[in-house]
Amino acid sequence: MSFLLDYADVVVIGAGHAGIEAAMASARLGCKTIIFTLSLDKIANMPCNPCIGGTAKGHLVRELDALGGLMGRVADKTTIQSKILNSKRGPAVRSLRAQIDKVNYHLHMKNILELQDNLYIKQDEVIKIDVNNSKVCGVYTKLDAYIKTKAVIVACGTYLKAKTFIGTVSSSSGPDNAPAANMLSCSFKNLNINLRRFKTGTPARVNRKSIDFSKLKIQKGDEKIHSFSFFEKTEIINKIDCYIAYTNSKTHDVILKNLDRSPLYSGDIKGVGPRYCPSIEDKVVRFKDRPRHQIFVEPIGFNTNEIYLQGMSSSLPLDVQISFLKTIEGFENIDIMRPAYAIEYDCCNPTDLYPTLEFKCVGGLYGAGQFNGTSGYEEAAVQGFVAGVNAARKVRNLSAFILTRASSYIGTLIDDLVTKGCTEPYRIMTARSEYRLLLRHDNADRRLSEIGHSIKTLSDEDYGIFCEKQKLIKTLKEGLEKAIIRPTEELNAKLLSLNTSKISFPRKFTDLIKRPELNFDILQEYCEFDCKNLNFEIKEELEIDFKYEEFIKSQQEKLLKFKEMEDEKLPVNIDYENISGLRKEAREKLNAIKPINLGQASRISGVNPADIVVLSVWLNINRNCL
Amino acid sequence: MKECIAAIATALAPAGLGVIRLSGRNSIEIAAKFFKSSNSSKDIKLLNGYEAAYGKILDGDFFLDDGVALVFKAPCSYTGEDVVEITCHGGLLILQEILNICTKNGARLAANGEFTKRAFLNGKLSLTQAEAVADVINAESLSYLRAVNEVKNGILYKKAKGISNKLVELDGNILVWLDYPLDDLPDIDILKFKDEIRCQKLKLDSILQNVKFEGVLKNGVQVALVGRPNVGKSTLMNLICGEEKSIVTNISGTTRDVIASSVAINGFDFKIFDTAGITDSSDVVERLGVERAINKLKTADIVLFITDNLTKDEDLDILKGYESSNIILVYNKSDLNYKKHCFSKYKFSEIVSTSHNNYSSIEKLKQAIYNVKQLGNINFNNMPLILNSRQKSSLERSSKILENLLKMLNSNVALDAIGVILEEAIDELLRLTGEKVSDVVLDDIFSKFCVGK
Repeated sequence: MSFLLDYADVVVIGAGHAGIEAAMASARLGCKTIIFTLSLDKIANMPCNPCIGGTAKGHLVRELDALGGLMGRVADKTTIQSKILNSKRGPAVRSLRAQIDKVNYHLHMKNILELQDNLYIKQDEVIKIDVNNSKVCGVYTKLDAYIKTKAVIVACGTYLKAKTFIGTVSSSSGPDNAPAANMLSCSFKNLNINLRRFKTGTPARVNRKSIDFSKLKIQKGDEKIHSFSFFEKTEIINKIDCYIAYTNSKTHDVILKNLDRSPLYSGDIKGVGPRYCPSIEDKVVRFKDRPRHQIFVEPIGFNTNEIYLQGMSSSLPLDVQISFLKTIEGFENIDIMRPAYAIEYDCCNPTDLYPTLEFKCVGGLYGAGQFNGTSGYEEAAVQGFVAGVNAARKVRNLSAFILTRASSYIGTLIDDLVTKGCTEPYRIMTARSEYRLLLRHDNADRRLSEIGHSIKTLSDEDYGIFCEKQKLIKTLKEGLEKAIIRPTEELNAKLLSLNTSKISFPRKFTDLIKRPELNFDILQEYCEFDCKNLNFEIKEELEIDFKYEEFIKSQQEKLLKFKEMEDEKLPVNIDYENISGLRKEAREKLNAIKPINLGQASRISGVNPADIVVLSVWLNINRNCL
Repeated sequence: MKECIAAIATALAPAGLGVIRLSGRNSIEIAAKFFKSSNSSKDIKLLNGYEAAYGKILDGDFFLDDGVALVFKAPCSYTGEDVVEITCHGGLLILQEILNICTKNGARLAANGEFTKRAFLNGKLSLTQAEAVADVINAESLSYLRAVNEVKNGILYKKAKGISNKLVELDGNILVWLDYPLDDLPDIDILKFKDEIRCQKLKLDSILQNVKFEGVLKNGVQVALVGRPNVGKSTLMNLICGEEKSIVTNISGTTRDVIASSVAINGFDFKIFDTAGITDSSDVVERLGVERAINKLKTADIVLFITDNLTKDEDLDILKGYESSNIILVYNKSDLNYKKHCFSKYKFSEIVSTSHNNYSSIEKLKQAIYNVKQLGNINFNNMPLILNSRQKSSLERSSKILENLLKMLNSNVALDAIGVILEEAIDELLRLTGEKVSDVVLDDIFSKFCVGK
């Protein structure tokens, strides 16, 4: 017999990276929000990599920060080593990656949630979602509590019917030995929401004192340290070093000899794993000719000896894990503290969701994070934010909040998920964006902070900082566009030493900076416009804008075409079966996805350009009666 | 306003006049790039709606035709957008050429019914009209499907697919290198990358080369007989074609217009055009004839430059700007036994001596005509049949993008930008097969690389 515990505008299931952003957004938008977690000690837990950011993921964190999300700020406060990736490979794909103190991150996040008005944290397990008339009306918990609510955000990560595998030993357990959530899956079945099984894995954690670091290659952090947050500037220092080790043919022999003891190969694991995040046994089997694989040796915190071995995720038995690790140079005496494991879990099919992340079949029910079939903390956090904002806006009768592909990686990720779906855990990559020369990590605030402020997730104070910065950039741009660099002997000597041709008459700063061999720091010495004392991040942003001016222009033209299609709205209640001229496959796909505009419709696989023409004509004939 | 589209608006049949229509964003600017009004105050960019200007249609500096441009300003036009209609002197080749210039300058080829569709979207049609349009477009979707299916089974598909596969692989190499900077992947070898791009571009261009052959097969090889008056062009034409099409007299300037006939040589169709003799005559009709002769000369696949004992070096001037590898020098009236003038400035494809009373010399000429286009080399098994001009323009655009890409590589542009441009080229190729670029590239990455934590 359950009892009525409370009423909430929004209930969030799970306090991982998706759940906390969802709950914080909803609470800050004035909705009374209750967040459930199986354990208060697992709030914002990082059961895998002790790291935030990386290519495209770093972009997501910056974008989230520009909108007023939490992840970037807290990451800055708990960073123990920071690095910009791709500083040489291409400006549009540069991103920030930070090693994070795992425990510290959890504590910081937990405290922020505790202090937030309108937000209530409960340690309990949600076991059933109560739905009436295809609308959410409440949730039941394991402790017999009933909470009446208007919206529920499911952000339960990899906990649904979770099963972990270490060799032949399998147990019903979530990540880091936390209990699994075994009851909720059934509730989805009753709502006719199909779940499927995905799989992922994590490597062993070992004791620092058992590694001979003299045999490994050291990896230092950057000297010039960037922060994720545009607004709250934390002083960040590199507190630790990381290292690189390599597997060798002996390691591979041990793995190959014991393959039959891996649940991945014996068929015990049925879930689909990510191709981009293969286990070490997968790598050895699929890429036989690779003589070695790289291992990143990364501390998981400042006050602990625990070390994470990136690249070595495995589902092999513990004894095999010990023997293959011991073949690695520097790991001869390795001491495993937590073994590597594979984990299998239930997740939904994201094509069942609208771009607001609301389920099409149940009003007020939202999905976010790994439950939606993604992988990664950053991917989870941004979905949590979008779901949280939309749930709160729906409760308050405001319009949907949808970011387009052209605006952000957040928009790209969600559009990919709800339009194309995913057949393996989805990871964001720069390759996924056709606008990647526009969507850079340095300009995330320029792209999104206006929006963040207008939906009230970005505070007035932070917005003030944003406006100041934009004003400064505008002045600088105008100044630099007029700036002239005159030929001098010194300059020409410098140019020749950098393998670029000298100049014989005055040239515009904006022309010279387009040369690949030159950059802001070199040219500022010879520039009549004073820009020497600028913050290095602002310099970087300006430099890329000038260097890529031509490409940016052509991408913006592409964007115009994109907008034409996105502006053609499609009501979600269209029955495509009734539109003559559409092919059968297109009708079925369109009815399943229920695109919100012609642009989204055109990205559905199986919908071809002719179908889109038919649809746009139909739309125009019927516009007035829709 | 939507992007500018262009198409030939009149029926694709021989006619005295033809109309090219441009509609959409920048359509007037695009037309102004190649249409030069003869009166500079009537530059079409300065015209109001419903105003017209007479002028020249230029391909770069090359004069194509003269005509009239009529400007409509949005919303007062058929489509409701800015529209330019250029009326010129018919001839499918000229129209096709002008259409090419439109696309070169930024217009896109219109799909079937697209003008009407736009008119309809902009509220210019009644509901009944609109429904009729919808029916047409529905039908179009079927023909699109049929076209895609045909492409899929054809050699073009295989070839385009082969090229796009290779490009996808190259793009995948870049993308994975950019997205996984921490993995120990090999660096991109720019020289090798450039070679690969160049090689794929050559393959594309060779498909496009075959497209030219295809035009030849469909429409016949166009052969123009050109030369001074009274060198015997009409006689030769009648001999080649085996019929009395041209009037033959010994009066200089008998032929005043372009006269067409056709003949099959080794199974291929050749269209032979007799033209007016090139002269500085003050006779108006004759002068018009000369103008037409020069136009014919410019659009023909092969030119027979006919000379006799009276031809001089300066008579060659009319051939200026014409691809010399397509010119056959004919010493006619060889029975007069005159000293053959050596036109040393030119390297002709072939040189043939002919006489109206020597039948075998005419046969030799025919063989020479056949040889110029190397029709014997067409491999019918390998020939991709290009289905329509949209597909052709996809291939052309793709080739053009690759050309730009090579330039970018030479100036050391960073690889993140290179990847984006490469995807545009792939996108154009995939249009032929209906696939979507992002899916294709990602699949390739994961199947080939060992990356990730």
